[in-house]
Amino acid sequence: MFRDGLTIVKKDLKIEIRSKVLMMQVLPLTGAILIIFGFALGPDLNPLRQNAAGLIWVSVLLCSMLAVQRSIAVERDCGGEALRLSGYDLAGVFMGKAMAVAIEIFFIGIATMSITAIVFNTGLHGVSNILTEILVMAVASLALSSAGIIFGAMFISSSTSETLLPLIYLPLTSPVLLAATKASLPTFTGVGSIKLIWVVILFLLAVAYFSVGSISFEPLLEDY
Amino acid sequence: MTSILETENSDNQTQKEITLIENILKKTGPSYTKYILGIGSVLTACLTIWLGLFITPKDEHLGNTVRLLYVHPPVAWAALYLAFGTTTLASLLWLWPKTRSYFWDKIAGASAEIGVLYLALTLVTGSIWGRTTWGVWWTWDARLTLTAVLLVLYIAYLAIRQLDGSDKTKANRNAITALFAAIDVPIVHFSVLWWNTLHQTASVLTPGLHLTVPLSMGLTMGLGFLCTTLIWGWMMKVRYDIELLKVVDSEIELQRAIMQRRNEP
Repeated sequence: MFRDGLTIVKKDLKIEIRSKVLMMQVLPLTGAILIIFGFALGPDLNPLRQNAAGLIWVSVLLCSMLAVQRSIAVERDCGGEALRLSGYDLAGVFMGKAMAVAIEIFFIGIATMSITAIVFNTGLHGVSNILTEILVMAVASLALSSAGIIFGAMFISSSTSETLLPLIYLPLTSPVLLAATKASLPTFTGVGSIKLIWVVILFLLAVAYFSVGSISFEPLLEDY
Repeated sequence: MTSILETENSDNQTQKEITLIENILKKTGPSYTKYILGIGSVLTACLTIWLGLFITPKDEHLGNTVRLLYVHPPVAWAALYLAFGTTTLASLLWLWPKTRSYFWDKIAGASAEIGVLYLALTLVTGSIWGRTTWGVWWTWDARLTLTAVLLVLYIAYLAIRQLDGSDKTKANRNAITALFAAIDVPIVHFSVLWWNTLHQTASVLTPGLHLTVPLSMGLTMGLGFLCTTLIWGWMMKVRYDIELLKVVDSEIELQRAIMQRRNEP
């Protein structure tokens, strides 16, 4: 199962590196979203600084949806048939796809954080906060990708996937957005240090989404 | 010879399907369960209204607003724990191979629909409470926000139930979505403990089961809980019958199509 997962991770990341969609389209979109926030809340830097953590996570959430759609689009041509007939363990396929998308979201998140620190002039406060922030980014990425992959696969052959995916994905991941924003606040405001409870909540959400996803991926694809 | 056997087999099949339709129609007709639940719902609703509006006292600080207590917590309980709990349990029973039956998928869907209705009522009654006690119709309080998120999640669940596919694919999709949506329920429950919220923690009945309000208020509230539970039960029965009638409808359509095909020259 784990070996199958690793193969899928390598395959998806290789496709992404070759197509450069993440680099050339999703990352610029993150920048565009941040600039739009700047127009909406600026030019005063104070509201931007105060809300930087939330704005980062909204950007990451929107871009993560694109990463999920991209990961599923690769399999869409066969309506999920290729995944089912590949002979790979389907729980392993889920793990592989979720891990690959999590790695992509993680890089989107780190880039968004860096852009925000510069353009909103927030800076990054405290070495321990920054290290914990990286952990938060990794855990939240896994939670987002797990939920995304399941629902992306669910609508793989549906003509309404473009509207249904955001409808379920955004409310479903809003607890992740909430906990990640709360966890990220001290890094951008410089007030206090990251509270462990938010990291724990994020971790629990990631475990819950990943576990439910691993169990349910097989029944989801078995009848396509 | 082969064609005679085929005709006999298809006649047997038709007879079986007619018997199935007759059985379903018998099940969905008037029943004691439906009458008991329906009459119980009306009686408890009338009693709750009478006690809540005319017998129980006004609150010293909140005035008549306190009467929302007889509606808001009962509908919230029915939505969060009863309706969505049933949806989650039924979805698990569908996914578990030993208990897999379309009955559970239908139950999950019926309960989620009622849950959405109750949750919308929870938000409306909560909003009225908020206007009179906090001065605003809506505030970005953790419990309120998460409850609104939960409502959108279950609306999405109902939208997913409408998607095309084979019966098994649809039931799988529905059950998985229900399990993901259920993750938000404990977050809503514990939100008042995890965050500093305007919404109070459980305050009418303490963890030691001591009532903090007069007995008449406690009893009326209890009756409210019973009323929302009975209404949920009655609506479940009616909604499930509708699902069965849909099966009959599709069977009749199928039989009609077969008959038309047979009568073709």
